[in-house]
Amino acid sequence: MTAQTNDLHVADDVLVRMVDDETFAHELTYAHSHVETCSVCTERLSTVARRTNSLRALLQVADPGMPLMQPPSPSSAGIPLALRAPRRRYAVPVWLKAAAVVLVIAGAAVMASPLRARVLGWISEAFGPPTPAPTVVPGEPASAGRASVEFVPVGDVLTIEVMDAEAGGELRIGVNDDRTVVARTLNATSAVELLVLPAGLRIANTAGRATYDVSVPAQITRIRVQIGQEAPFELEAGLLPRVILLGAQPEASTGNGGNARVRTVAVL
Amino acid sequence: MTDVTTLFNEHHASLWRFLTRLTGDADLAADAAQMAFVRYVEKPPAPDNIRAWLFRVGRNAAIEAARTDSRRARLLDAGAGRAPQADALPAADEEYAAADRVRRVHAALARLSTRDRTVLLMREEGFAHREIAEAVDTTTGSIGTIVARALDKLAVELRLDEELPT
Repeated sequence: MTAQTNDLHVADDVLVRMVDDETFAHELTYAHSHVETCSVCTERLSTVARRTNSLRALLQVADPGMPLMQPPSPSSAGIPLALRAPRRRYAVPVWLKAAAVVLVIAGAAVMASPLRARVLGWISEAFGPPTPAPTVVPGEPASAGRASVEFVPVGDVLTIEVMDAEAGGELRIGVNDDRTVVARTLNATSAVELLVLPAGLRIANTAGRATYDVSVPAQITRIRVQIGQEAPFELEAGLLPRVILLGAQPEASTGNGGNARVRTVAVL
Repeated sequence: MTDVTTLFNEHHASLWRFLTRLTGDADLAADAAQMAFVRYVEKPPAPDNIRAWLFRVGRNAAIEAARTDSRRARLLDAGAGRAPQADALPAADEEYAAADRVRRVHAALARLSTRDRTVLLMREEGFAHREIAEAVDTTTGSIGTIVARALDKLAVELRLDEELPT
C-alpha cells in the first residue's frame, strides 16, 4: 500500500480519514460508495484499520506503569512573588490623610487602656487563629477521606493488594472504556495511600471502613486480589463488576469462585 | 482559568503516555508532563483547546530534554571503557521477550521522524486531524498521508499485518 494517488481507487490519506471518521465533506459520498463496490479498496481500508488496531495494542503493551504524580501548586511553580507591576501614584486627599492620623492615635489610646483586653477578645472571636494550609503529600488524601490515582497497566493481569483487613468497607471492581486503571478511595476516616506498583495497585490502608472503587480497562483479563495476609484469589474480568467485602472473613460461601468475600453487583 | 488540579486529573495520564511513547523514556516524560502543568500555572493560555496547548508544551519540553540527554550520553560514552563493568544477569525468557517487544516498539518509533511520530501518537490520544496539523505545522489534509506512510513503515518492522494473538 503506497500513498500515491490512484485515479481508480481511493487514496491512502482518504482511507485514513475514513478510519478516523474525519472524511472531508467533498469526499464523503464518493469514498464510501466506492469502497462499498471495490474489493481492492475494501481490503486496503481493512488494512489501515488493522494496522491502527495492531499498533494501538503494541503501544499499550509497551507502556510502563505511570508514576504517582501530583499537580503543581502556585508556590512550587516558582512564581516570583517579589515581582510586582509598577505602582501607580494617586494623589491622596488631605482629609483622608488626616483621618488616617486620627485612627492611628485612637488605636494607640485603646491599646493602652483598660479596653484593650475587650478589643483583643472581640478580634479573636471574630477571626480566630489562622488555619494552617493543608499539606498535600503524595499518596495522602488532599481532602478528608478521598484519594485517587490513575495509571496505565502493564500486561493483562492486574494485582490489587489491600494491606490491612478492615473493620468493614468494600473493594468495588468494575470495567471502564478508557485505557487506564482508575482507583479512588471513598469515605475514608483515616489516612490511605494508593500506590502504583509494576504489577498493579497497593492500597496502603489502616484499619477503618473505607470503600475503594477501582475500574479497569478492557485489556485486563484477570484481577489478582490479596487482602491483608490472606491467600490471594483471582477474578475473571468477564465477571465484573464485583464487590469484595473487606473486614472480618465471612463464613458462608457465595459460590463466586469459591471466595466468600466476593459479591455480585446487581446490574441496573 | 480552569483549576490546575482539574486539568491535571483530566489530562496528565494521557499527556504522560504520549510523551513516554514519543521519547521512549518514562522518567523524562514525567518531568516534561509536569513542566507543562507548571507552565500552565505560571502563565495560563487562552481557554480554547487547553489540552492541545499542554501537549504542545510538553512535547517541546520532552524534545529539548531528550536533546540534552543525548548530548550528555555522548559525553559519557567518550569515557566508556575506563571503569570495569559487571556482567548483566541473564533475564528469564518471558521477561526477556517482553522487554524485547518493548525495545522493538520504541526502536521502530524512534526511526520515524519526530513529526511523523508526533502525528501517529497524537492520533492515538484521540486528537482531531486539524489539531494534529496545528501541532506539527502542516495542513489537515496531509495528516492522512503522514499516517498512511508511517503505518507502512511500522507494518514491516512491527509485523502489524499479522493476526493479533487471541
